[in-house]
Amino acid sequence: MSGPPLRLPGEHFVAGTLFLLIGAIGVIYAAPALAMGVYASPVVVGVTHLFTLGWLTTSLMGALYQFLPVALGQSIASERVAHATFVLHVGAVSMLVVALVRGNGIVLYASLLTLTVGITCFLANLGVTLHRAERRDVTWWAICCAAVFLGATMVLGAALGINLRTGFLGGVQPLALGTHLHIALAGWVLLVMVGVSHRLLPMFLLSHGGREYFARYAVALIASGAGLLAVLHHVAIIGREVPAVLIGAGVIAFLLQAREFYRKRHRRKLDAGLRLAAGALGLLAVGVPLAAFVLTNPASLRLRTAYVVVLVLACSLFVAAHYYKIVPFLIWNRHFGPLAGTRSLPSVADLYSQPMANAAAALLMLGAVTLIVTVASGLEIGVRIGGVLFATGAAIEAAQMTGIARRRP
Amino acid sequence: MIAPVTDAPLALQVVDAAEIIETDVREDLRAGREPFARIMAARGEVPVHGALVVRAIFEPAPLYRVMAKEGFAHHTERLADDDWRVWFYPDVLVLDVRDMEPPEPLAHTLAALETLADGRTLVQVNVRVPQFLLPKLEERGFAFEIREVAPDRVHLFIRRPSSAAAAPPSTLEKQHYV
Repeated sequence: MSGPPLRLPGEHFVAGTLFLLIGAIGVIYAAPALAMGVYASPVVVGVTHLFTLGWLTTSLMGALYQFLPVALGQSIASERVAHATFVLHVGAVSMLVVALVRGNGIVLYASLLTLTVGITCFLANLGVTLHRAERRDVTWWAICCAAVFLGATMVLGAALGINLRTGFLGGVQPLALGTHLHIALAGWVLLVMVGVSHRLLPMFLLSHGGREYFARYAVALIASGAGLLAVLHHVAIIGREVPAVLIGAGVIAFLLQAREFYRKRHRRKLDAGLRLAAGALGLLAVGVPLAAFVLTNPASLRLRTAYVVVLVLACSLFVAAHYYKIVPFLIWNRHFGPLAGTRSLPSVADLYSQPMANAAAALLMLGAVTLIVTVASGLEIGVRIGGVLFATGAAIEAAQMTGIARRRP
Repeated sequence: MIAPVTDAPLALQVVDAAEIIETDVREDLRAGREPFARIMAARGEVPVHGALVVRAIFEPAPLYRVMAKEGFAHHTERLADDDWRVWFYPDVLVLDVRDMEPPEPLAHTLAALETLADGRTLVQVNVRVPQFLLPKLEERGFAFEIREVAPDRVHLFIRRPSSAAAAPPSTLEKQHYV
């Protein structure tokens, strides 16, 4: 088995970072709608998709291409299909965001079609890879379930997109939107986070010997909850409240697993990436009681919007944190690794400025917290300030990633 | 089956318990019989990366030099005044990378291999199979053997082939025990 290809994850990380930057700037632009809690407004929906499909999904695809050979001993089945998927996905997301914001029907349909083809190709490629993998551990199950829910998200998203022009969903549109959002974030993004971090967190925290069964519970609970939601969302209690409890319990299990890894770590001093990951997990913890509150109370639009912001930003920051671990490693392995043992080489941490990384992580975290608080309280100027802080953090991280990518021996 | 004590040298700890041959010559010594032939016979049964344990009623110091010539280091335990346990294990270089963040294990291992003499073995102790290191070992012509001895413990035996007996990478010993 060869090492990870650089180009395939690399192109995903470049595109993902661009989506993050545009999305962060979009938050500033969407501040009035966010402060009013109008989460269904075109600009908020567009910005949300820059984060979910653009930043998160593109990054997760790239990370999986790099991660699968290490975790499952199986490289992606077809690199050619993966490159084609990338082109389709990035093109489709760009078109979709433009169509959502500007309300262009033809572009919307074209983007939905392209997105469906791209994601279907990705799932087929991933499915073959998972089928070939001999190791069927918690990571395999997490990625396998996540792939199923990405497909479900795509179907629901396409229906919601078509509904924008036809209105065929009628009164069930809010239910479909909530189902789409939760299957996307819990079923797809969170399950990949659970599966991937189950390997990466102990690797980067130097944490071994801790209890690892929490991750199994997390995968089982989240997958059960998302599955029930996907199939029975039209049924009260069993299709909504029960899935909410299952997913909430799964999130708690994931947080307990991460806490175990952090507590059992051998390296006491945390770098910027691992501190940001801990902050993202903290935000995710806030999302659990907030979800319960939103579900059981006739909450205001602003609180519902703040809840979605918590979920999207918690996942976004967790992925942003892992960029500080994955990208330097890829560059080191590609350009410095071949020289290992023949001369003195910089460490991975030497590839970027630690103070700047600390600043980026602090700004991203501060921006996220400011956004959540001000969206919940309806303070437009606060949302703008939060957006500026977040965008500045994202810009510093993007600049650092660019610098790392250009490092050579 | 006997396993090395936990405070044993790392090179002894990486020996698979299933590959340890034990011979007890205390009764021979008490009866005045010469145990050397029996010890050497047991030594002949020791697998490539295995170890030999000898139980004797005194410290068998003369045996140390004999076994050293065979490429074995030793670790001695005095269990009682008339009960000595001596571990003879392959004199390999051991690199414990369990507390290193990737890619430090790769860098340190390749650096250590640069100074490894022909025919010598380096054992990397890791918490996982070092997937990125393996292709680099193949590129550089090292033979390796992976032993996943516990869920969070992997022993990677890396041998620099002797110059005279160097084989192309495709024919090198490459086994994966799971």
